[in-house]
Amino acid sequence: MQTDNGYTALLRADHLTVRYPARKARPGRPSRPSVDAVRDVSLAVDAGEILGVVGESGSGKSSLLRCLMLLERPTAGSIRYHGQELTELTPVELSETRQGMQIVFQNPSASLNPDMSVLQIVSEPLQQLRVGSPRERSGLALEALEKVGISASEAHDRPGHFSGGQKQRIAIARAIVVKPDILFADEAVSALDVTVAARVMDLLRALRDRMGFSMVFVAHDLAVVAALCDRIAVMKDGGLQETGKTADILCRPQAEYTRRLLEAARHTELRR
Amino acid sequence: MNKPHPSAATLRRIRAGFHFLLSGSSRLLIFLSVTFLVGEIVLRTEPLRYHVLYEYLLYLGRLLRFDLGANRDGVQILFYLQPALRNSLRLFLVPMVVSLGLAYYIGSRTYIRRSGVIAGAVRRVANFASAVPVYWLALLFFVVAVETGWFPVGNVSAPGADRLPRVARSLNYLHHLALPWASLMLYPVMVLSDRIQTRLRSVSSQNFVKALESRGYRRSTIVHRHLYPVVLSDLLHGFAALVPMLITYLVLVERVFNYPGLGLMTIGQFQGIAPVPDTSVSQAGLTYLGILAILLQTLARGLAAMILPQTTHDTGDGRTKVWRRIVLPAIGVSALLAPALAAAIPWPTMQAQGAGMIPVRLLLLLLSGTTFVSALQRVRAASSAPRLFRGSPQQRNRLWIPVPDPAWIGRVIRTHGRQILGIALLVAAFALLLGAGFMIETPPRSFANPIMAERATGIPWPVAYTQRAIVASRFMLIPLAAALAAVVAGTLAGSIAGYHGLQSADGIADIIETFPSVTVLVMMSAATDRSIMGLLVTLALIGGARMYRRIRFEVEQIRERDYIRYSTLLGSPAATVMFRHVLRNTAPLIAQAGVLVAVDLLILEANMSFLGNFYSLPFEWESFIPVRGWGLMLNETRSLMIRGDMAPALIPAAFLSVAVIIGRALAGAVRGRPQS
Repeated sequence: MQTDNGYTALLRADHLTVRYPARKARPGRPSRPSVDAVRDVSLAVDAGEILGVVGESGSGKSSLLRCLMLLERPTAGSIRYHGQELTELTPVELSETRQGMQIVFQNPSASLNPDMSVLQIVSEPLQQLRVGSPRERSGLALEALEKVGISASEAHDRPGHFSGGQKQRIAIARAIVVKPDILFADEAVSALDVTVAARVMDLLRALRDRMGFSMVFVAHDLAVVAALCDRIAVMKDGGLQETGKTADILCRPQAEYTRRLLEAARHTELRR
Repeated sequence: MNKPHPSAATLRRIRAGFHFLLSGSSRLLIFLSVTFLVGEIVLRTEPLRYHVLYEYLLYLGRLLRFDLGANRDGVQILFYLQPALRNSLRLFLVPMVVSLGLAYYIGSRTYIRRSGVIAGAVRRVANFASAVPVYWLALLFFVVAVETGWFPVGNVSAPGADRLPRVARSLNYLHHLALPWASLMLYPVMVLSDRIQTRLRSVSSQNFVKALESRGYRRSTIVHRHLYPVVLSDLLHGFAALVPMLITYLVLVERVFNYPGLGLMTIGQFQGIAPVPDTSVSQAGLTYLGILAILLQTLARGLAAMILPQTTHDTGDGRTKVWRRIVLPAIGVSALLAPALAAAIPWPTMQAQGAGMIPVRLLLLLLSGTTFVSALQRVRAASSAPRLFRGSPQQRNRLWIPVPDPAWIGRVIRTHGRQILGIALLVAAFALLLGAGFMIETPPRSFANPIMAERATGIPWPVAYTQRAIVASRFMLIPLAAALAAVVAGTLAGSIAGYHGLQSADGIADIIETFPSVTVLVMMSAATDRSIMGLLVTLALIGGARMYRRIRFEVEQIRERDYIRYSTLLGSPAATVMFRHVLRNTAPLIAQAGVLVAVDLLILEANMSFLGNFYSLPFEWESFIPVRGWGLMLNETRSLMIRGDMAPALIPAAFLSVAVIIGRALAGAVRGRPQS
């Protein structure tokens, strides 16, 4: 169980396949053939590493991410986390194992309960994991908020009070408050404008350096992934086209699709 | 990519329409079963002992040939039913068609002109039209007709009108029906106009409309060519939802004008004012009212499905729905084919009373069969859904109770002070209205009778009537108690069904909402021997179904949010997610829907009371709640209004309208979610 770097993998997926079954036509709904959202994907994430998963819309990035967290059961293949096979765990065991995994969603507005204060939102995972007393939990939550640049005076506000970038910071604070081993970011900066996205990426990198967690960063923009990640996995039509260090992917792409993706990214960059 | 053949779209439309036709037919059959079951309980005729299946098929076959049997005097029920049905259709369909046309015109023009004043006026009149009891409006028209003598009342046409030439005959009908039509039209015209303009406005904010406007398209072109195709399906669904209420109004208007239609015939049978009281006839009348509602709804929903097939019945979860895919279509197909089969078989004509032929046991079998299928589906769905209470007992006891912090409360008061003040004032106004009834000394039993009240108290009639109207506000406790039960049951069922994606309770809510509430209430009144508990349970069922639908839809939306996914990912039990996230975010809707349900039940109870004394209070309750509510008081006033004494009718109608308007305003005020 070693990554390309030769280290022991924190999370490893082997021959992962997610198949959505065919759907018959019904009044008001067209038929749909069977679809392989993820097809025979094998990859590994090392401790402290940031793996970027990049590809066009519908390439299976988000399905892969959901599958890695077992939010969706794979049709075939195995997922090992700390060497433990996730697909064989009971629901209770799985929920205990998943405590080291955290996620940041794409839409910051939909990922925060609008009726809870920021402090309550960030305390929620601690409360669920029964960490300390309420006072201690508040302290830890405030500390996490401070790490992402939200002051204690704003901790009692509702999410509606904050901008998109700040909301994403709150979501990151909620994720890091339990000191996770691995953080999954599902298009975490896609909904933000360029400057805010850059600041959020800087924050994620700084947090990773400080706390040492691994990260799987899913995005459709190669430039974003290149700026943040140590390694990149390129996906197309559910399959893995290429995996490698960021510099190798950028300078010596092997797959034709990766070259086209790079060309498109350069073209977009030039137009900017 | 292959372009789909144009006929494929047409085929899809036809299939969608057919699906609704099947579903409508199955509802019809379920309704017939329930009606006759209740009829059987009411009549308590000799139970069937032999050849149950044969008897049932025989009865069904006759029924499908419109052979409803004979009444106790041996006269065919159809003899009574046919003219009444014809009259009711004449009274109902014309204003409905005109209402749709008028609503289309008002709604479209309001949107095209973009006048906030007109839009506001339409909304206010719509609110007013739904707050004022329709029978009160009809009563006013009735008095105008009697006082001025300009309009005839109490019949369809003048005696001997059949011998007049066609044009003169039509004018004669128009003359007789003008006021009942006007009474029936105000509510649907205003409510539908408001709905049309609101829908048009919401769609017009989309970018494709802005693009069309920027290209210089005229607003009327945009509305008719681009917006109506999008909103029409929705509007037809809205109209279908209004149908049961409109049928209830039809019955009320017939009662006010003594119009010889289906409603008057049916209610008259129960009230004993019909020339020939006969329960078989009343049962047939109720059945036909229900059939009318279901057919109109099916027609509207089928049309809506054909217009926009992709928006209907797409649950999108890919699971096979036994109920929707096999049972409903099977029942629907049998209901569609049955008349043809029935016509081909030479059934003997019914000689005995129609309802007496019903094999109750078989109907129970049918109902329990559908319940069994529904239960199977529930088990299947539950096996794939997370359990409500998962985890250790310690976890179960750690359900998180949210406590708002004082700083947030202060900020909310600062930013939403006006809203909170408005809510407080409206609640105070409602409490005052309810409390006023208790400020007057408990009324003596003689208070129930206006003449005796005048004699006993020595107070002049209108004054005594005002007092009675104030005391009658205590009667609101009955619909309010039913509303409370409805809110609790509807919220519980709706949130569980919405969170777990269950659809079992949908069928029950569907059935309750499909039938005109007046038929359900009359049936239950007859079945429970005018028991007040029957009224409470029926009102709670009706309100609960409405509540269930609203909450279920909202919870379904919320459970798809990322913060719910995140909480599930953390391993939170479903009950914790429900309390911590779902119910908390649904609270404003629960408050709003709860108030609206209470208002609806208030109107419903008044409608029932107006139709007659369908419920009796237990003797021990009478010292606390007066025998007569506002609806029944209004019922008494017709003779007084004809004598020119308008005050007695104005007072209870005004009380009822004020209560409804306060309730609606309160529902609007609690809708907004206070946020920092």
